[in-house]
Amino acid sequence: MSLISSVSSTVAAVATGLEPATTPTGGRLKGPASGLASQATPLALDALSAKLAAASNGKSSSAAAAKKSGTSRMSDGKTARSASATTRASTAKGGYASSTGAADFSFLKDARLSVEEKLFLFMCAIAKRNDDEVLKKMEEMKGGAAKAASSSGGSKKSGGLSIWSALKVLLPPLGMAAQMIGDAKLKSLLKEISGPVLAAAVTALGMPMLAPLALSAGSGLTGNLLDAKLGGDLLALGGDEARGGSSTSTSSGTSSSSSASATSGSGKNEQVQMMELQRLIDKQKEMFAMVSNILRAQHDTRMSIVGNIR
Amino acid sequence: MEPIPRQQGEATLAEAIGLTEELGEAIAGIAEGELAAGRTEAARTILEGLVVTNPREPRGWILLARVHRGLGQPLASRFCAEVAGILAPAWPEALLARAEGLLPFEEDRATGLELLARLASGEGVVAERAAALRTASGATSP
Repeated sequence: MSLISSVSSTVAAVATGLEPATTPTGGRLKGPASGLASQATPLALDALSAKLAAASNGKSSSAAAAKKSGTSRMSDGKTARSASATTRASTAKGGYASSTGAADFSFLKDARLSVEEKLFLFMCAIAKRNDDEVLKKMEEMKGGAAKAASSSGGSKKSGGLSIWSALKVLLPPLGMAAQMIGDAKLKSLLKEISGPVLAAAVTALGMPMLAPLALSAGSGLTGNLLDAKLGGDLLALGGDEARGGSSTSTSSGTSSSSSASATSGSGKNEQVQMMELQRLIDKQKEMFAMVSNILRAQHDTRMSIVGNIR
Repeated sequence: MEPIPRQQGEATLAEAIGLTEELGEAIAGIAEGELAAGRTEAARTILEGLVVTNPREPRGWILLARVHRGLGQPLASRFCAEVAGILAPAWPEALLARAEGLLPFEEDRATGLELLARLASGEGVVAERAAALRTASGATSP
């Protein structure tokens, strides 16, 4: 089968809303049947995926059911499709979370497909995955923005043990400094100085073991962390002293400066997320460029062979 | 104030990656140039990298204190200056940075001016700057 017909059948399959990875079986159609690719492909695919699922599960009963669905597709496609859907559902119950991932690339082992076809399908699969990633990231960003808006609009949470109070207990100089210059000032200092610099300072001051803690207490994270509730080890480390200090720190933590820096923190997060989105889109671009280069190289090779023959 | 003794087995990132003192000086020089040219954010990026690479380098902390002062963050500036002061308690430049860090705070201004007076009695660029700062802050008449 030529590359063009394979591509057209794949495109037809994709247009019907199928996963690209499931299209290769459509490639078996020949001649006039290629026009029916959009209808025939899903059926063949369902049968194949059912077989694959049965084989991977090692269940003979499922395999039999799959076979049955494979034969029934000749007479009634809809029945076959629903049967295969049932098989998929039962496969998911058998310990497989979903059919994504390795199953998407099952066409790579299909001996009937040419390299070009595999390349195209691979590109489709990767493009779909990248699209999903981009969508997911955008959803995350939407969620993050909503959360930031709600946190900046609403009042700060109070009560509970804060990381800030635990930090003061864990770092005696910090506690002293807090007493000297005040909680609010020290908090704003932690927000102005970035985490790595704070960690470096702690190291320089002879407390390298506290560097990881200082790193997480630095700017960017501080706004969210200082008033976050503690759990686990830090709770145990903080003890009663930290618990006692928490009420004062949380009550003083509602200053305008802290809210302003929280906004800047969310702005930074947004920036980071935008960069992440940009990276994902760049990844897509790179993938397209790579496939394009490979196809061009193949074309050039063939053209040179044809030229030599002439 | 005495310098913090180095703990046994404690190594800086600079030592781990083989960053020599000359290179460190060069990087600090670049940051200083950026700062002088008004590119404060660039200087901040370089200096943050420098102090993370070698936290025991007082010059990096002093320059970072200047950067924070330029960015309008007096508290961060004071913090960096204090770290430099602890690392090099006898170094006039570190003392000057510390005094400069204390000046913006009403309650610590007197300490800062005292420190400046001590530095101004000496010689060199640091003494000149200390004297100028004292004058500018109204401690002495020009």
